[in-house]
Amino acid sequence: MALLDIIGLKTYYFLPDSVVKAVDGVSLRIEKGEIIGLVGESGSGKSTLGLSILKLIPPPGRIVEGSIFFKSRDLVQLNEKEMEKIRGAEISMVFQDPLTSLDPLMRIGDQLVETIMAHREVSKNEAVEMAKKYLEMVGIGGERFHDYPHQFSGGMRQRSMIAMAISTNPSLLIADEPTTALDVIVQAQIMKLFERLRRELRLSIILITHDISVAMEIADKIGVMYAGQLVEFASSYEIYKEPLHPYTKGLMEAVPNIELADMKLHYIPGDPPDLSNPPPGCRFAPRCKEKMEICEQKEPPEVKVKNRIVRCFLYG
Amino acid sequence: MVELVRVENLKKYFPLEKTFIEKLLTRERKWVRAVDGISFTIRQGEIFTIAGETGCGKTTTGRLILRLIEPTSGRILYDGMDITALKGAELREFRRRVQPIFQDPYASLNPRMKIGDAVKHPLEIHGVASGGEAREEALRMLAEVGLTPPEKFYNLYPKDLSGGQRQRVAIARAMILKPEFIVADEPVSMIDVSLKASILRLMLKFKEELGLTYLFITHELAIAKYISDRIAVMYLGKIVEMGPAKKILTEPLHPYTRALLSAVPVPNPERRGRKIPIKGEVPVSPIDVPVGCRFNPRCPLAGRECLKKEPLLTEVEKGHMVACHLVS
Repeated sequence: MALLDIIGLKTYYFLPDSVVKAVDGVSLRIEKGEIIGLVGESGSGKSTLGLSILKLIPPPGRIVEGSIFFKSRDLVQLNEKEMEKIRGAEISMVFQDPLTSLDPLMRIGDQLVETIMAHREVSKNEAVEMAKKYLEMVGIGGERFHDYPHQFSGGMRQRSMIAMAISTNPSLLIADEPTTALDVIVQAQIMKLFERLRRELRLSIILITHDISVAMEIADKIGVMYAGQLVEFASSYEIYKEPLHPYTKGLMEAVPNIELADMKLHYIPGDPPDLSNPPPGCRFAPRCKEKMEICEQKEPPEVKVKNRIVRCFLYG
Repeated sequence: MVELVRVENLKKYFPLEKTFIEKLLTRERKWVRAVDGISFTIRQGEIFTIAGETGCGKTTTGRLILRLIEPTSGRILYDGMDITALKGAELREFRRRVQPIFQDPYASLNPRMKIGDAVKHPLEIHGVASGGEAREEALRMLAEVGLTPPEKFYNLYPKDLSGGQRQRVAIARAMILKPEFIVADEPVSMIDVSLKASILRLMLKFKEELGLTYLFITHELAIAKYISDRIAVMYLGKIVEMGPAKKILTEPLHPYTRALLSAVPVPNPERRGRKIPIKGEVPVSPIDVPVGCRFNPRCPLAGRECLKKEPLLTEVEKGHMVACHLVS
């Protein structure tokens, strides 16, 4: 049994004169202790998918179809009160900008203690001990326990957010662009931290990122999203060695690689479609080099190729 | 090669805002030393890149060279002229010859101005063309940057365009005056990866056509690789290493450059587990810079000399300069 099993999920935003199909039929499965990279460009629906799992979609958006099985319970069917017991406790989330999630007037240690006491049956003294332990785990020494967020650097703030996210002992961590606002050296340190937490806590992580290189550094599997759909889902090695979907192929040619001697960088002509009025057939067809007649008429199904999933007519 | 830009011991200090209490208690002013004594030249026809992390001074350097802000000290010579001394007609001429491209194509375009009008605006300001002639030229530029059919794009507003399309508009507007020198500050960092190369190629196309020279400012070394002739790496207001792009990227000498390169994520899972040789991060505020080498608190190799004396940028082989006691 997978830890998380998303089946045919659709999340739409209902605007006054249009419906934006931000997530449109996504199925995804994550096992215990696995790191999944969810990769896509702006407007691909990756962040909406992350928020859907926690049922935190801001109105006018809502889940219109599909299931999200977490430990065998369908989150889509749970009411708000039941979701509150899962959010933060069993599934935690870390966002791009830690400053918006931290209370500027409260000491880091106190914020952590408060979080722990809200979710776990422990005394104040025990919570303080645990808070120190979790800070240490993310690389923040006990001497910073009484500091305020503004005394922390960007990387330290994100580390303390991660400490807070894991302090409730969740089984799934959703990290939405956790290093996008950070410098590259700090980004590398945070990625190493995620890798260590997965190992030590058997934590499952969904890493949402626009940067496929970052996902390639730690993810076991990568889900590539395009225009609200998962177009390919495979191991990082397979995506690197032999991307199947034409969009993934284009992406791999467009991503800069500092280690290659090749000095030519490619791009995918055209722009992503308007999600309130997506093209009939495959959403990538207008930009696809390998487009066939059927691609503009029918929406491609998800095809299983060995252990991988591809949404493309080239494979059946 | 002819040098187009010469920067000599350039400094820019920003005064630090004091709180009310601090104002009462002390008259001493504190300064953020954003750019702290840098020198380099940019040769005609090359793409010179300044790379570095947050707070290294790369954007301030670009703004100084555009003369959007005045230096605290030092000189900037453009085509032999000291730009801080330019006034009136000379300054206007400088503003025609040197054009900026900024990072955020959402912030750099007036939301109430039609795309076509935004592109032709510089022609009118500089009195190069007006009326139908300016319109024709703007249409031609829109087609040149790939916004076709230009007649359609002319009448759209920024909100109708994607980020990549907006950056094309910004490029059309910069190029319409046929400038000689472009300061491009993170021009592709907000562009989706599938389209970054299209913007870079557009910049290269104009470089060929107009014989342009570029100052390219970026935090992404992986992007710098594809277009730079030479790279200068900055850290806390100083240039720590400078040289031919290939040398910097494949045989870096400064411990900071090495660390920066090893931290760049690589889209190849077989390259996982590389060591990042340094700890910590750029100080929260660059007000109190470390004594000696600014990088010493994070440097794995720092010795006694590094804690006392600031290393000078020294040529270690032809055209390759490093500011490190351990190398030079």
